[in-house]
Amino acid sequence: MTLRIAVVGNCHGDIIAKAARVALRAVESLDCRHIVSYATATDADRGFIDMADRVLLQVTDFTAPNSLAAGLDLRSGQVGTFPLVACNFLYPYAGKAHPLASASRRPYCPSGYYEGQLSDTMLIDVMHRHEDAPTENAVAEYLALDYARLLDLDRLYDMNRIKMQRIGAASGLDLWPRIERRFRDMPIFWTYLHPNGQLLRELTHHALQQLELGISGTDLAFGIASIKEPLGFVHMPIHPSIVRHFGIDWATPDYRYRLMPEGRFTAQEFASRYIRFEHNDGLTQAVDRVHTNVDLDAGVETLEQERIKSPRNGDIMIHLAIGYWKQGKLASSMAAVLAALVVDPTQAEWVEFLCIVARQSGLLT
Amino acid sequence: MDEPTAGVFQLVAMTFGCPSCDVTRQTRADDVDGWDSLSQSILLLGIERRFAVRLDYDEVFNVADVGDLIDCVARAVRAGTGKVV
Repeated sequence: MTLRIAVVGNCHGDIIAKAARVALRAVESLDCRHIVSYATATDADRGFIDMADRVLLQVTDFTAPNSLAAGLDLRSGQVGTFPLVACNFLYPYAGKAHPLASASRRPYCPSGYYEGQLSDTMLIDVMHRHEDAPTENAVAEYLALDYARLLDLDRLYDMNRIKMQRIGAASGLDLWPRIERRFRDMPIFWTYLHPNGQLLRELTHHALQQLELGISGTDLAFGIASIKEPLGFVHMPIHPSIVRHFGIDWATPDYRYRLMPEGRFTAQEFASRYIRFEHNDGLTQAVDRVHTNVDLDAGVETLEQERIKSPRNGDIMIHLAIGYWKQGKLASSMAAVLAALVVDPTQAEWVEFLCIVARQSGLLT
Repeated sequence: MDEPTAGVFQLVAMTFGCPSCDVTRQTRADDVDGWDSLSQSILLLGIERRFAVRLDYDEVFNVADVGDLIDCVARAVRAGTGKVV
């Protein structure tokens, strides 16, 4: 008999579903699906939820009337809950995409470049006011804005806290104390809706326990350990006035935010690129080609050219390493992943990939 | 149109960049492009600043439509400062 699990939520749900598949890998027949809560649910989605043996439901502070939660008995042992984790106070003006974003949508970039989570309404306003002026002027004006004069940031922080605590109480996991304790010391959010791996692992641990399927401690640990930094590929810069107001130590002016696969940029460089709508479409397509195996050779060729142009970009090298690996070129793959790790030794997924290549190359047994 | 109603309609229109004539008491978040949890926070801060009130978040987080929100604002205005959270 197939064990059916529906995980209903945003991208957090996708990560939980993947970890559940790892933790429950011993189950002979498992069908664990992530159902996207913010998209229009299909009849198949609703049918799957109705048939599911277990449902994990994300608790949010903003439930649409046509919510998939409607009709589910939350008191039932078959339904578990996990919280939405968000940090509105760090990105108060995010959410509205770059004016050119929708026109830049591609199959390999479905939301377009600089979509809502990588955007800032204040930057859009400044950009429009300086349409005929040099970009540097607009960037300088944007960075000099004081958000504390535009908004009551402490009140926004309180609002965020209250929302997270309400969600925490309703879902059985309040992550706010951890957020409050750590956000000044390290990046714990990549965008206002994308928490880091540490928060995601706690969230997933809670969600998997809610399944009440008797998952052993070892299997639970295995599932949790499979989560590295799944949302850390794009990091939205925090505005300098927010950094000042809240005393965020790590976000210094020379801190480089990751914008995969293009590189790492300071807040100032990001603003400049945003205004110019700078992006490397060919590189994005090449990464997609490597991952989807559609025109793999062309993808690898583009990445080889991009690597020469950007020798300090570890993201290009790791995708190149994956491309070589898929082509069966293990020695080239190994060299590329090692080069990527020289640039950024902190990427746990890259180390894991290195081990896979090394084992297949006969270097590890 | 009373002040809370006109003011909230105007702030909703400004926050979400839609014509204020499109906003009614029956307007729901789903009806307005870009109205999500984050932008709602900005709207609430705008309301608090404009009406010099502190809204009761237990109330406003549960509103179903703009009409409910206006009622919350009106109560807070009548009470002086609303409920300080």
